[in-house]
Amino acid sequence: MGKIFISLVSLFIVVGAALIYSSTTGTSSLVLLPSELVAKAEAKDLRRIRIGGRVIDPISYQTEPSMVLRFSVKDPKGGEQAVPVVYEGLKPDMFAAGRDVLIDGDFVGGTVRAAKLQTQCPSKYEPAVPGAQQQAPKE
Amino acid sequence: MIEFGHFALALAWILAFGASITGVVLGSRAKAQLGQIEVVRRATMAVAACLGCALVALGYSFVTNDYTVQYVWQYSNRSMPWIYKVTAIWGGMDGSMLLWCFLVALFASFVARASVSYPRPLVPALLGFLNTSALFFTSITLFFTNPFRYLKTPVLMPDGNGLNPLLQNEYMAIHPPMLYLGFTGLFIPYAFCMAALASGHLSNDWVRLTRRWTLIGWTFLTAGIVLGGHWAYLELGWGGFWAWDPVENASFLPWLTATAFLHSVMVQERKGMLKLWNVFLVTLTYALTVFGTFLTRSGIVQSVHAFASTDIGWTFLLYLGLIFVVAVALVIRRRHELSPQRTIESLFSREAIFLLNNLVLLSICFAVLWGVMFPVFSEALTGQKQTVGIPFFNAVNVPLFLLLVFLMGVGPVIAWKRSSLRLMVRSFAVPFLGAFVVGVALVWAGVTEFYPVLAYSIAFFVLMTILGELQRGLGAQAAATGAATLAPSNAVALFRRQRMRYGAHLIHFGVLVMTVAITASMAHKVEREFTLSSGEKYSVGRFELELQEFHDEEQANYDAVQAHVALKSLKDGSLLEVMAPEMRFYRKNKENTTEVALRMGQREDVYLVLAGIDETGTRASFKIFINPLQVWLWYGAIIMVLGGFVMALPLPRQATAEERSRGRAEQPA
Amino acid sequence: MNMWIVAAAVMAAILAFLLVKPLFEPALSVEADLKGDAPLRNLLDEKERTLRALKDLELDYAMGKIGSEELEPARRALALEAGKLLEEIKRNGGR
Repeated sequence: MGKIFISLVSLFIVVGAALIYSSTTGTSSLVLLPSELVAKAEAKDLRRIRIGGRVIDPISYQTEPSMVLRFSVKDPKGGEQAVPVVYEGLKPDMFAAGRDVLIDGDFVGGTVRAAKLQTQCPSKYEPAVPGAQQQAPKE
Repeated sequence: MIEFGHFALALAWILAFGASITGVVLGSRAKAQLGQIEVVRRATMAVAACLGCALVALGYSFVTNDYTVQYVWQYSNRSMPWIYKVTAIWGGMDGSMLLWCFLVALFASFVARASVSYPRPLVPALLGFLNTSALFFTSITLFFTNPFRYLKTPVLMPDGNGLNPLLQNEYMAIHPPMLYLGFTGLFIPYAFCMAALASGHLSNDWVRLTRRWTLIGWTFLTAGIVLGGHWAYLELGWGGFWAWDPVENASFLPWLTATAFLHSVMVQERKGMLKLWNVFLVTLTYALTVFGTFLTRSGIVQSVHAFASTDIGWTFLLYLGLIFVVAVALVIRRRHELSPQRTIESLFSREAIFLLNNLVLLSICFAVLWGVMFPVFSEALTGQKQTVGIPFFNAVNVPLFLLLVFLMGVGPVIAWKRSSLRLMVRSFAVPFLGAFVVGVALVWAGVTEFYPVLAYSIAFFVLMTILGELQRGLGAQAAATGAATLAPSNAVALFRRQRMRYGAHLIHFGVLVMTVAITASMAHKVEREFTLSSGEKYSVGRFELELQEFHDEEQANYDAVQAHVALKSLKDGSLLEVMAPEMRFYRKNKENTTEVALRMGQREDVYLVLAGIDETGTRASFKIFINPLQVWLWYGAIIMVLGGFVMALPLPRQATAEERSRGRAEQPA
Repeated sequence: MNMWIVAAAVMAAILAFLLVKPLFEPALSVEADLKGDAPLRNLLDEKERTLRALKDLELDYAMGKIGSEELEPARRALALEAGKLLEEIKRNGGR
């Protein structure tokens, strides 16, 4: 192998690793379940978190003067801990109680302030099969 | 019918099993009977025929509303239009795996058909490896995700459950098949490469024969990825087209390595270098397509649209391991034949730029893979799961992509082996100056952010170099034939003579258009929320919106309410269009969805979402996005796909004969 | 009722016939060599590469990527290499 090949490859490994490392440390967020969030935060604030939870009632959605969606989430596998969520923005498609959502945001004053809210879906659409044991849903 | 489908699937499995073993065994021998090779060749085509029958059987059950079949019951109902009943075949995991199998086998059968003219030492092993891939996916379908199963209910179900409303969309009819065509197309270079290693027929033959298949796979994958983005843009209502979601990334990863391979393979063909590198790229590309299937079906990372988490993940991991073990073993066995025949002599050579391009593409690939797998890595290392999102992907990929686009301008202008520095400076002086002027003009015009200015300048630089190349090419062609430089016939002759070169330029031009469009839509997007009563107005950008009325609609499977909003020009108040964003309520699934109203324009898209209507039914809330130059993203993609097809289409006969005779004439005495 | 069994049997029979047929064709009973002549093949590859490089060289010159002062030495070197390769190919029994 030639000198140019070796030096270019090494250069890219070093620069690439540095770029990935610096970008990761500046943007990564903790992934938590609602119950873990409650246990971990202990009334402290947490910046940059991602919550995967199941939406429970009550849901309130106001559109004036600006769009604000308020709801709570609990662990998808059950559990009692509910965490209130505020999301300022458009209600996503297929958002409803019982749906699983991904929330990116901060935990401030006991409430999750969502910067991004996604309904977990499109392709994940496995209805319960009547009379048969279910294939997948383990939640 | 369902039993027949099941039978056909099982038969396909048996044939693929037999053909893969026979092929690899024959390929490892010194001699083989022609008849035996022919049997394997026919078996390869028979696998595709059987899987085609299975697919038709499943489609028949869908179209005839056979709700005794569990899969049909799950993904369709009577009120769906028939076209969505057909597309529902790939609406869930079981059917999409069957489609995947069929496409793998279909590509394999095309290669098998063409294989009669291939160098014979390559053929048995090639057929064998083509079938190992078909065997793996058929095994998954037959044993784990078999769609040919009855619904276990005591009573007959009168109606099906229905397809997810978000998937009842014409894009869902063509986006998954396109993507699958891309994925499955990219397993062909892998089969060629492994066959070359296994048989020891490591000449340029496999490289040459594989190029068209790689291009076809690459082109379909490009189309599939962009169609997915277009679907997200039209349907998901958040005004964007790409969210770095694991499912999107899964399709992007093999695209990156396939793109790298398309470049580095030229270096191997011409210089006999990067042989091992290309084996690595081809294997990685195939492994990443398998990994993508694994990612979307195993549920190991959270995604907005992961398929249901299933327990077949381990089979994919096992297969991934097998792919690498086989590749490494074969490489070790053939290590002497894989040593390079030359080395890169100069940094200012085409081969060095191609290597750089490969390294950038691989860096992007690694960064994206890192981002996708970060939750898994971080949990394994620290015990606490962490994740990265759009900010991470943008922070890493924007500089790398700009470097890539820049190299796209440099590569084609540099000569093979060693460029003349003096002439290089001369060819780059004007583009550099032009790019600098564009940058200064943008800053002066008020675009002060670093990356947008850099992106537009680089795009202009590359445009200038491509145009310069075209001009020099036309000049050289005119000098050789005596035609006028700018005569259309001269251009046509040039394109025909060097189709691959100008096809590549066309793809590069498409990338440029996309670069500009993505930059514009990232940097200058406008996003507003507002509420209107009938007759009220709201102005944004160069537009004014006025709510006119509400309109209720009742469709076969959903109820809808539309808000009619007049879009007017703010300058002269002229009516441009009455936009009708819509909210839908699917009765069967009790799902709410929104339908975006979109006005595409050359300058910008107006993207209007109906967010809600208050209790009185007179006031409505909207979200509006003004996406500048958005439409050029799709134009750019169309240009890329066009370029891909220009390169992948079979050469017209005359041209090859002509090239051959020219090649002979140039042969030194 | 059991239409599918009939269909499956017909399909299996047709496939079996088509698959087995080549084994009994006299024209296909020939043994084919699967090893080939690796050294000769490499030489032929190198010949192709050299001719390709010559073509690329001319093209790069025509497109103004290299000057005439670089063209001539490079062309001479390639022509020399091509000559050597042709000789060696002849020695190895190729054309």
